[in-house]
Amino acid sequence: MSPRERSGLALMAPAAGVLVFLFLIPTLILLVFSFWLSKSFVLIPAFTGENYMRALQSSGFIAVMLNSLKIGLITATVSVILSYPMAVFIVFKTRTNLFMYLVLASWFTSYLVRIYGWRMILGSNGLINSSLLAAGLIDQPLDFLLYNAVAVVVAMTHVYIPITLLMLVSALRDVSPDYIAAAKDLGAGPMQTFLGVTLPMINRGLISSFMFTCILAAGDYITPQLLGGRTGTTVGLLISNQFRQSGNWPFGASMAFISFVVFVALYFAVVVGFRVARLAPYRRYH
Amino acid sequence: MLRAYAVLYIAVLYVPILFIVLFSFHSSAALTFPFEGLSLRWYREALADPALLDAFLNSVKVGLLTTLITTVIGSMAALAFARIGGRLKKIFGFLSFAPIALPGLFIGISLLTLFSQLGMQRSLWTVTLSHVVITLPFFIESCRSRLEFFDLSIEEAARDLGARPFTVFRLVTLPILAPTLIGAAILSFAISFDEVIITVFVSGNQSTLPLYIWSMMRLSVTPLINATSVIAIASVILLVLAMSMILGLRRARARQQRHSRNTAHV
Amino acid sequence: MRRMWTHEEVRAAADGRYSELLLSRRRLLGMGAAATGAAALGPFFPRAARAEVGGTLRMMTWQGFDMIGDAQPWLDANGVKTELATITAQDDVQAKFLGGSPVPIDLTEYNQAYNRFYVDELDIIRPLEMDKIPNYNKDNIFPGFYQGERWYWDNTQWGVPFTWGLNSLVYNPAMMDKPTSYKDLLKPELAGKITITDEITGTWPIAARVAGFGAKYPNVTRDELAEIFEVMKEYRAQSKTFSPSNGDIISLFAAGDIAACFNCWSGIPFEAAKQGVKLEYVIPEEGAVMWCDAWFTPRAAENIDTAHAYINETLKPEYQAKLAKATTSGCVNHNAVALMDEETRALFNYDDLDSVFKTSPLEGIPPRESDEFATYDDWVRAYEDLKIGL
Repeated sequence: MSPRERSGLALMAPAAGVLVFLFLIPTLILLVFSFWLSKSFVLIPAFTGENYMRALQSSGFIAVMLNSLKIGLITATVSVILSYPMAVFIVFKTRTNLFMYLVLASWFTSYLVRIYGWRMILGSNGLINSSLLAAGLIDQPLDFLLYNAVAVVVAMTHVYIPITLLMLVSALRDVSPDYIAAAKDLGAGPMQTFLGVTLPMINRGLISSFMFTCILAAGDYITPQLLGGRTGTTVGLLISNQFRQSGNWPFGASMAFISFVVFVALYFAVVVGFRVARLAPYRRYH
Repeated sequence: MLRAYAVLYIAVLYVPILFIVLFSFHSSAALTFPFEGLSLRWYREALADPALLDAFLNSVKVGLLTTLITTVIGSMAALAFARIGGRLKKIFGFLSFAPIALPGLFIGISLLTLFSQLGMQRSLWTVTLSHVVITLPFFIESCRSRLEFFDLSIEEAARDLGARPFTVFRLVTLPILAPTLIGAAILSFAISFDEVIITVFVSGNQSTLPLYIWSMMRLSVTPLINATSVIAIASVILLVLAMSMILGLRRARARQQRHSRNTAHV
Repeated sequence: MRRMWTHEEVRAAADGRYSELLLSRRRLLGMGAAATGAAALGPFFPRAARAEVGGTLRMMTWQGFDMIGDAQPWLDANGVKTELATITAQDDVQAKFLGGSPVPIDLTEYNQAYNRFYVDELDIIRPLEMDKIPNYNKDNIFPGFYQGERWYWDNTQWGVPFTWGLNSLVYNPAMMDKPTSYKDLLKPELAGKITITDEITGTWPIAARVAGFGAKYPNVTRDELAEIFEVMKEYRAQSKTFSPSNGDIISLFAAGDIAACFNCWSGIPFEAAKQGVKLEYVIPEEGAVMWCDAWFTPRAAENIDTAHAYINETLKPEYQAKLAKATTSGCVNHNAVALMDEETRALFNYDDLDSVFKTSPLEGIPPRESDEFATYDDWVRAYEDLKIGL
């Protein structure tokens, strides 16, 4: 083992220790539970796939899962598209970190309070409706602004966009402006430069940014409850009901693992998708 | 063009927040238009609530400690990625991503199970440890690509010139990586400061600010929650500014020292 | 003092046998006997017990129900410090006590529907020592809240009720006519203008009544359950959203987003008035549902004497009247009624509480296990499917 690898192992050790001890081990305990049975808060040791079968056969679970995924994917797509130009600006066009810090600071207003902030804007007596009514443009409040999936996507984009941006920024910081300048000198257009030079260098960061936003949005069960109206039921809520109300930990755990598998599969699908589209190199150029 | 977009981006991001701030001064209890008048009553009410202050201080304590732990072990981990390879790197990469792919509630339950097995009393300590589990992936992921491809040749050059490893880290590695690390550290603090779903399970009988706000909202949603949130964001921004000023001063001093040393060499 | 562990439990813990650790009926019986024994010995040492009031009292209550502000002089006089955690849902309470190392909370509360569940199945309630709560007596307390099956059985007092209210139908008179039945919410002009409170202890019994099975609740068959939720689909189709909290409902009313609320807390018109919305609550022909929260000391409690003394203190009329006003709820000590202002007194018909109990009974929850009737789990599933829209 080279000294470099040895120092790498030493640097990795504390974080790996934390993750193994506080994440991997407890998760494995619950993985075992997910094959057990339960009667209202009493766990019965067993080895059965019953919980998984029950979840996969439940049309409610599948419908809600697909809906959560859809909302997650839309939120992530919107967030990444909106944040990419901002990230380019922060990394290449300005020398101050002010913009980045301003974006991060927005996170400190409680997320619960921000959800109600959106109600103030989109509700029947909210900013938009009051202004339109006052201007005489409408005579009944528009009620399609709130309590549907669109309102949920808008609010979640607002909530999670600092994370999307931060990850894009750190990915772009790694792109040397020299490469882009070189591409331009060689006569590449902006699109060609982006696809041929920038994207291959940031693909990992871009995928992380997209996936983190997607998973956070798909797993959020409070925003949909407060802004989603009748579409407010999410996978998180179903899992929560099993753990907190029914006391069926094995069933709750099995649903959590199914959603975990779905997210991990989605992550690999995106990674493979990038490779197939030849947008991601198998190794770094520089 | 791009600058205009950036300004617009910030503006849109802050519009809902401006309304939250505006309505924190609302004289009536409603969070709807029309805006009836200005008043400081909600600030008075918030500041007069000792339980609220406790919850706020608890959140600050947990947030700072979480950030400290996450920043130290997280940046070490991110640096490690440039030094390890092969299967180990893949496994570690997956491990540092996986906590995000599971529902927060699940993490809460699994940690509760672990703490119970170990006979650990739930307290702010267990809350802190739990927050580290979720901030760590964000931290690692948001600095990893930066640190992983950080040009090791710069470090090597410094070492060839006879600098000790820690000196290399302090004078070469850290200044280059600082903006990324600071951004990730602020994000970690923000995530911890706003976490509810896991905290419900792993907290003892000390409340954190978001838990307290959540329970206030169960009873009634009034400008009081806005005022609380505004007080929190203002104090936290002051805290962050103070810390970055201290860091900035130290960095400036270090630069000065380096400069005088360089001139001495010449 | 920490609860003693039996050899079996220690071994179960060592083996990681969760099923035995989490709950065991055997433990309940053993602990119950020991506790009754202690209660019988209690009167011989009343003074000694009193002397132990002090230290830190760790409480967990709904926001606004702790009464710490009112009790400050008493707390100071007795050298008691408090630590307060808040409940955001009844499930938070059991979450604190499950698993091998429960949080040492000395005093918290349960909704009446959870009584048997907490005692028989979760075994998280410690029997109360009633000689330490002399204010809970026949002379002070309304008959409906004295002992009673929700708080007293097996010769043991498990909880002491201290606050109550009604859940019924709340509407905005500016947006609709006064409803006389839940069925009035199905009028076409109210489409998208109602909300359903996402809280099971009220919504389930009212759903059963709306479908005509009110008398049988909480024991209905699986076929009847299916019928109940078939009827509820009409209400879902009318609704804008399922509201997760009272604060949320008030904000929906204040924003003009809804005209009425299904299974609504009777305190909401009062709270909404503060936000400038005039609402009314009616008891429709299907009746209302009463809720009542009771203090209890958990198994994991440590400062037990102080918890008892605090329960006793907060049953006094002054506390009861202040709490009723602050939280728009009802009192259990009839001496408190005279101390209330007009508005607070007018919330409920204190002159004839018996009739209130009759039209608005305290409801339970469906059985956790049953072959004959739909279980709690069946209800959770049917209710989830309703919310999803299947």
